[in-house]
Amino acid sequence: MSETLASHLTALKPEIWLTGTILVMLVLDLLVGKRSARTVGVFGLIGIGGAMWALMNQSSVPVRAFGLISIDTYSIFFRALIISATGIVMLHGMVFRGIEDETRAEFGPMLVGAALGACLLVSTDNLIMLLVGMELLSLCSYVMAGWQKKERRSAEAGLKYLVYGAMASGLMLFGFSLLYGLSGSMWMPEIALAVSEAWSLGDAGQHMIVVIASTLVFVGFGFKISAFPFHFWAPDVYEGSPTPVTSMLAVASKTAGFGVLIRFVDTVYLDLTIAEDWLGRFGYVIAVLAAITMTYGNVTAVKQNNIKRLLAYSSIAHAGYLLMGVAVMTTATVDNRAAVGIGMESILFYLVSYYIATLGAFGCAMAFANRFGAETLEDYEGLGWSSPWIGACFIIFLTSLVGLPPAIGLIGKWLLFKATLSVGLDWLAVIAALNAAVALFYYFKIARALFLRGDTDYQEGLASKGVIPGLAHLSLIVLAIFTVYFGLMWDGIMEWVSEAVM
Amino acid sequence: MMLFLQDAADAATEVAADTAVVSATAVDIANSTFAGNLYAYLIVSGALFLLGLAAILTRRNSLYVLMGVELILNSANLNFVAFARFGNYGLDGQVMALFVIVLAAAEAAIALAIVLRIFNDFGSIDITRTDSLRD
Repeated sequence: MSETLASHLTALKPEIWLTGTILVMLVLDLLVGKRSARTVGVFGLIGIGGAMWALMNQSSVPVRAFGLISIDTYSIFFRALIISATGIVMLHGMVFRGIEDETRAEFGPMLVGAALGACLLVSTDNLIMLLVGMELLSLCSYVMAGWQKKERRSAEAGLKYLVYGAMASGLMLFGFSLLYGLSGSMWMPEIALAVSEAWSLGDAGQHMIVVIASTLVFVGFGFKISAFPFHFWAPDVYEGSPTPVTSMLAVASKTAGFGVLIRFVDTVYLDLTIAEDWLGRFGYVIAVLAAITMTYGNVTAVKQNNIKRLLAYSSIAHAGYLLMGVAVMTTATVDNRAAVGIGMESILFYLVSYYIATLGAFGCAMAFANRFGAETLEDYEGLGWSSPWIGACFIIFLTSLVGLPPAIGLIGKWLLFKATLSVGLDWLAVIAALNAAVALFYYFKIARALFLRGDTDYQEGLASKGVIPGLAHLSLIVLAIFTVYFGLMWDGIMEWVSEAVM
Repeated sequence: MMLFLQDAADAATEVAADTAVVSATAVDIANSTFAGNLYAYLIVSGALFLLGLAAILTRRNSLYVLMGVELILNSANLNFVAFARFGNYGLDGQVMALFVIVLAAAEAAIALAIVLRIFNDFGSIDITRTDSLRD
């Protein structure tokens, strides 16, 4: 084996682990036959652990594998979030009662397939690979959203996700074709050259093409991160999908969307000195979208009754906060280039805090649904006293989502606000602060239902005994501990984030 | 309806005209003997794109919506192949077109499975009739 081939394959070790896991799970499902769900799940967990191990041992020297995939600290950061989230979702998928036992074994390969797509998506700077990664992620997600056979809502979630998702990726593809026409290349740095040339030297028609292509591409990315006005699928799909799938969509899929969005913006629009007026307007549009997204998400969340739907709107609102960071990156002027790095760091840090708290919150929602069949705020009344551990964890995650001390969410919000103020987007910071106050109201509604309403008597739910459910509960407690621990000692995460941005 | 089609046709010509302007500068027309034909391809792809978009936005039958998506994918494909051929851009565009064809097939397989389930559960594949999830 030649040395280059070996180094390229070494760089792709986590992806190879994931691919192997998919194959092993598929074959095992056939070999073991009945009651294969647990065996397949355990092997899935081992495979994901292997991928995580391979990722952690990866050197931080950038490699371009096969000319399509760029493995650097940035992609290692995002792949670490995606793969670890997949592991936790896999664990929760093994205990969630909404998934029938006879289909549970097939759920694993689909989930790992989505993770593989997400990993490719965040590591590539080539449009062909980007499309393949995004479609792999999307197609697996469509199937998983409609997974529950006996649930009408799940079928509907699958259809809605499919129709809107296919439309968004079609529009994105048309945008890619225009960018290809401009530049003659699928490689982002060359597209960046062509875009800046078309903008600074071209006539009105060329400006028009750049604007149309950028808009269409952002439809695709905006759909993945559920930003306004491409958010309308999110509440329905989050509510209808099985809860572990919802956490996958809210965490891994959204993280991957932000990963590719930031890389695209950074490479295509910010690498070169594109004319100021373009960048100024672009950043302004993103800032307005961020403000609308967060306000819409928070205000609509207030009147929701279904917990998953409420968390879905909250996740739209968080996409708005994260877009603030993108607005910071794009409004950075030529004499304030440091702001690009600051904006990126704040997004990445906020993603970590969002990742921990959202994964935990949906995990708690799953635990309550499993044990008591609880879905709405009324169902939740008094349940905190019946399962105090999960209830307490839920409170911690909500604290982090709203941004109160001592949770990590506070640090994330603080960094984002600081970055926003540093480029002079004061109005955006004010809107975000007002939004945090609105968010406090509806997150408190969950906490109040859990502990302050209803009777405090112990309710016997459907208890689940065994190692795997125990591990699933333990994962929630570990996430809650992380939320508080990193809220007090965030230096480690800060270091990791700034290494990823380098 | 006729009025709407007229509007769509007008818009198609407009977009096609815009697309043509950029390709005239981005692609070195002078060196290509087939130069004139690029516009023809771009006009067709622009029209396909708008028809697909119109189908997605106006149709309520989910199969028609998915056909609209296929039209959009194919309009992008046509763009890729035309740019690759007339711009002498190498094989990237054609490779992309092949990938898109495969992805469209995979998407259609999944889409039909989901639509079949919707028909079993709701007795209709009208996307406005699936309303068990709402605010």
